[in-house]
Amino acid sequence: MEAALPSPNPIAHLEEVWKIYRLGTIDVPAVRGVSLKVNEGDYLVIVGPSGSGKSTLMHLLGCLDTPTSGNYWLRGERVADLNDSELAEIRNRRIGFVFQQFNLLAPISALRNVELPLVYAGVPRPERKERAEAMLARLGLEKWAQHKPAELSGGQQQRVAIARALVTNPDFVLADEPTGNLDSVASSEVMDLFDELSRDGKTIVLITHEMDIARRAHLIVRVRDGLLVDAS
Amino acid sequence: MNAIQILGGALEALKWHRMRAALTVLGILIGIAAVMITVGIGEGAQLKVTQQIASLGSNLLTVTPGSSTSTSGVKGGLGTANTLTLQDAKAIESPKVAPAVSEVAPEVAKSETLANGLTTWTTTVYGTTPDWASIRSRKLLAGRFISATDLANRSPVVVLGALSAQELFGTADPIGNSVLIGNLPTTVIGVLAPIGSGSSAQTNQDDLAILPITTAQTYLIGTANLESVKAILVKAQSESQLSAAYQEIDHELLALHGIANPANADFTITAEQSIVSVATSVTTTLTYLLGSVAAVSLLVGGVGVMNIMLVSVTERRREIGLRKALGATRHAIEVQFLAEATTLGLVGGLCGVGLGEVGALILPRIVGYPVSIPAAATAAALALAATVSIVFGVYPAVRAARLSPIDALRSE
Repeated sequence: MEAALPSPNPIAHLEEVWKIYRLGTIDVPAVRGVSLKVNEGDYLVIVGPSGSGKSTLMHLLGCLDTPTSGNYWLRGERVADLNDSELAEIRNRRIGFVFQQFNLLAPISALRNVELPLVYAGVPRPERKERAEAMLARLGLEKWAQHKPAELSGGQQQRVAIARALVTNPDFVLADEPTGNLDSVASSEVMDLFDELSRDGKTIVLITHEMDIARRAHLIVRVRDGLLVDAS
Repeated sequence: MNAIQILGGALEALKWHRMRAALTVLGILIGIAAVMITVGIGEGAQLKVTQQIASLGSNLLTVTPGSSTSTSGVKGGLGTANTLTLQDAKAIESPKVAPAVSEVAPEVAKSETLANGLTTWTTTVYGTTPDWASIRSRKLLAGRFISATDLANRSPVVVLGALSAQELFGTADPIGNSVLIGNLPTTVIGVLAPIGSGSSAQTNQDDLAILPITTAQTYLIGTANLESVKAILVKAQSESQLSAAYQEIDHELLALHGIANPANADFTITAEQSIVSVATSVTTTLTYLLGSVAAVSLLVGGVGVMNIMLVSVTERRREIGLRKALGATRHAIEVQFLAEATTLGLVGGLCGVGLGEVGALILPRIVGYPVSIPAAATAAALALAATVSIVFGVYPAVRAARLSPIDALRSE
């Protein structure tokens, strides 16, 4: 698959976005006026130390949280105008999440975990199974489909999580410290997978505090104290 | 998601938390079984009391001398005056006078000591007529009851209650043996079948002796007014004829006694029916009491379900957060938790009904008490289980659905 041409309409567009948390009587600004565009095919890394506001940024991008002020568009649609079930649908169809903790459901098999987003997308069972199996096979996990998460290594679990993120064919994959819980070997395996997905044209937004991981990306955005320091 | 998927998801989630699910089911189960068994015991008690009263004769009227509504102070109390006579009884017996009356038995009574050789036993001796056995719904264990011939001849014959017979003769057959009642030598001609009720000797219907009324009046009572009776038992043609019989008797006796104002009547008519209704209302109250105790236990079961579901919401924050991140709507989460609560309620309810039915079979053998569970109570218990679990499942479901995905995901 060839990398798509950057589209004039960005997939995700943050404009002067603020997020202010209220702790008791004190207002704590976590994100202070960030503007950011994610275009089709981008491999973007957001880097910053802990407490820099990068996680908040990730939640805003993932529609898990709403901005206090400013605008966020997803393919030209203003997120602030969407209701709860429309947001749920966006999270389901347009965004694939990968978490530091993998967040697989322990009692069910890798295959059933990968099927989960398709359940909420209303995909019928046989098609669900077919698509989940195909996705696991693409990531070289077909042998592990019937295993439960506890029977898999950390690297394998994270690859199952990536399969789950990709199975709905989302606009972009949003990964929050995907290597944070992995040893160096597993880390580089997972990062190789992201590189490969990027080469296949997937749009990837990755959040990390490790510079050497950030260097794999095309675009690096540094965040400090809720502000973008530079975008390269 | 369709209904089967929702149910499947709920069953699967419950399977993940087997222990917790089992405990919740247990709570509901005990609540439902308690409701069913207590209602069953109440129903059984009502049935038993009704049957016992029916065995006294449910279409029975008792005429007693004196008035219970006396206000002028001259008249004697209930049952103490001598205003009722054998003539009254004969008058009521006439089908022309009282067509609604089927049988009449006048009664005199006296406490006497009975002796079989050296064995003595003090009991109530009744003098009555042959209809008494039928009016009182009494059957004979052995021998025969007093007859019209006995009555005409003032025969010295006696029919004993089962307990009295046992006290006097032990295991020996009393029929044909002689018993001294006061100073009157009599021959035992029959023994009444026991009905076994009443706790004291005075109320025990198996402890009595029955003579022809003529014999009793002549040899035992023998005072100024030979014709006076202590009570007249009247059986109506049927239960529906009871009030007609009441009016006929009232009218006839007022006329016979020459009383113009019914308020001055020198007799009282009581219907056993009123005792039946009192007993029924007492047992109904008992059923309500037991039922409300059981309902409280069901409520506790319901709060248990809510508690478990709330704990489950807290424990499963990450799962809820993840599901929301993967695209579950608030509605989907609500439906999932509600489906889990309802499944728990229904499974608990069905098991409870099963346990209740088993209890209804076993309990009577242990406590010697009838337990009858009406089908409506079973249906109501199931409906209650479903309602309780839905009502108490809604709040946790709403709370689960309200969780913000980030807060939920962050928690560990």
